[in-house]
Amino acid sequence: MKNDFLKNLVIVIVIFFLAIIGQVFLPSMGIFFLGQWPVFIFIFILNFFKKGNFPLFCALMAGALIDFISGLHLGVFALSLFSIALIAQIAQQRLKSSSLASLAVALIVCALCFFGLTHLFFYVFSII
Amino acid sequence: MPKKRGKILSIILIFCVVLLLGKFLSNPLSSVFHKIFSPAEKYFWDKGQKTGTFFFYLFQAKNIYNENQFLKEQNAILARKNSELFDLSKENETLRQAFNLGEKEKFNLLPSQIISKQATQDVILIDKGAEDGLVEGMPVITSSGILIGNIKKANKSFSEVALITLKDFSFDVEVNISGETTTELMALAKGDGSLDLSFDYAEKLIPIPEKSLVFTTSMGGNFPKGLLVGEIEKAQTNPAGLFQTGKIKPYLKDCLGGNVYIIQ
Repeated sequence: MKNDFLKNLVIVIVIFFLAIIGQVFLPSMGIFFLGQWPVFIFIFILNFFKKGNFPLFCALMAGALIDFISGLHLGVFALSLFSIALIAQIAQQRLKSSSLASLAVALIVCALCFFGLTHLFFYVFSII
Repeated sequence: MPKKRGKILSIILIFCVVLLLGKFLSNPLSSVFHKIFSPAEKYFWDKGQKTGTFFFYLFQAKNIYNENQFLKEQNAILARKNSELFDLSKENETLRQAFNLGEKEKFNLLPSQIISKQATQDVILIDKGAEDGLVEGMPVITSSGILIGNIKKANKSFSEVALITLKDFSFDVEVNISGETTTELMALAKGDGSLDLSFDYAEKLIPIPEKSLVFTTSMGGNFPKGLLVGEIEKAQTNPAGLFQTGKIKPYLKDCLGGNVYIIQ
């Protein structure tokens, strides 16, 4: 029980640092295009390999962190990453083989969905 | 089945709650977040800047050496011009006094630090907000007078700055074409997103050479006159069109690391 708590705490800290690195550290180095992708990859892997509600909570929290750091409406990344976490969990249940190829396909599909959803939610928040 | 239905309902509930929070509580929550975490953000921004500079010097050593040689030559030329300008400045001051003209406009600058950049568009966040007297539309520059953008939204403790390269951001500029005589050509600069800037509506008759400097004008009332924007990267004329268009290399690309100043 204590071990699980510590593991989860480490995951939360890693997410915080990945968000800070993507939104603050990399842009200050002149790398602007990576932004939210380190967090996305981490959330995808977490949801693909860990079961239960905790990965979904992590996705929501990570998204909210990115929204706060980049000064966007709360929800643009929070809802996008939450949706991606759901997609990743469904993909993990449906995929019969756990080969590297199927993981790569799932990752590409999720990345495309993430890109689309971010822009969709950004648009939604700009009109409501 | 009821378990699945319960899960779907909770997902819908989460979506609704987040949408409502985003709509009504985004700004206060963001302000509290930045108040708590801005030291960490500043720390990481500073460290990132130093790391970036280290790698830049590491990979660009040869170019830096060549640039240094070129700048030394330029420095010698400019030092000579500077002494000429010093005399002209004194003469100008005497004439202003003689004709009872007021002093030249001086800016009231408020220093601020960048804390992050928005992931989806060319917008940066700075650590000064409405409580420091910032309002929408105030121009933001670097210490060397290079235009960065203007205040897009002033929150309580932080502000969003729209970079001049933000998609659909437009403002009037003048292109200084140096030849036997210096010609100033009016144009409209437009942000293309991803830190790219272009221009349009420049008169077709005067060809614009590459590396011509681009400054702001007071036309349109967005920015004060004379702020440096960048240099012409490419100019082209469509034979069927009425104007010249092209690309501007914005100098802000190299200046996003340091402090910025808000013109109040």
